[in-house]
Amino acid sequence: MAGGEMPIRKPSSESRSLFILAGIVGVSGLLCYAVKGTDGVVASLEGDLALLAALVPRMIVALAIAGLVQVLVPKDLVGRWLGDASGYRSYILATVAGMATPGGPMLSFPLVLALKAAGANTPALITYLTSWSLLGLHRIVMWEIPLFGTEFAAVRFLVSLPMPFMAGLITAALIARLKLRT
Amino acid sequence: MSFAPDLPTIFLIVLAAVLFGVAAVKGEGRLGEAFKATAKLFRMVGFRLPLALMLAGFLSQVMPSELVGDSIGAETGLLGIVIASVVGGMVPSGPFVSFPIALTLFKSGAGIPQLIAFVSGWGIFAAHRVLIYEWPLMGLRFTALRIAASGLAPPLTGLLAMAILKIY
Repeated sequence: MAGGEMPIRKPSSESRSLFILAGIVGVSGLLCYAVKGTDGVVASLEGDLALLAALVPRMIVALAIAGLVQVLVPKDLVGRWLGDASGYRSYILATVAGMATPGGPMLSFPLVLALKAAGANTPALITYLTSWSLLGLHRIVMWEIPLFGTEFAAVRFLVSLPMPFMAGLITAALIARLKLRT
Repeated sequence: MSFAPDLPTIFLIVLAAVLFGVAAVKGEGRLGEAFKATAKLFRMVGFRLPLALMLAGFLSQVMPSELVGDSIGAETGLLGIVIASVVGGMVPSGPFVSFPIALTLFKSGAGIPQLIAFVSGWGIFAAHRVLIYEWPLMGLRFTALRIAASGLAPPLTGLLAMAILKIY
């Protein structure tokens, strides 16, 4: 976050990442063609168009929120709670926030993007995402308890509880060790 | 799948409207700045999203999901836990697909620790989520860092569950 700039990578790494993605898409397309033939490829692309039509309006709203939050939320506020200097408090806060965030990736990822733009550090964001994906309460209540019962859900919750902290600490260690700019 | 506003979408729209209102009231060019910031994000996501969707679509076509049931039984131990973690991560959809699949696996004899690893694997690696949201929005470095930091979590949850269930 040097200079308080947006967390957007430089154009070079940006386009390199796009090229990698395009290459993988090509390979997976060939694989799909090999396994399912032309019909499989066409069906897959039709599905993509439908999904894109559903996603684009949501993306527009989500990105508008990310842009607005970036301008409106004081950087020092987010920084104090989720920034580099906030220490263990940020892990606890991020874990609780992850548990409480309802809904799918459509809600949580734009939130992460906005928080990052507002000055949250990467270990806190990864703690948040790990908590949301393993401990999300809405999913436990809506899916897990009805299908598998309270006991299964309780055991899974218990064994998953340390994971967000672990992920946050590993992230911080990786950033320090590899001297990554995040 | 069409654009039918569900609860999270409505929440997002309301949130956007409130923030827009606050920015408009505060003035001092904040709306213009916010617009510029949003446009910048759009340029980034606009290229990645269609590519990521194509990849997710192709992968879901070639997934051999039926083969899995047998290989993650209660007696398969650590190997079953590792397999379940990886396979869970390849379920290319939301909880409305992953939990029913987990239930089918349970009925066809999957062990509890293996199932927990499966659910964790889906949560951590969820291929579709990484491809459609994380990579386009957060970039390759963030995504790689997150997967490196939490990649051990699914097998660990399975192992911890195995230990707990042994004590009981």
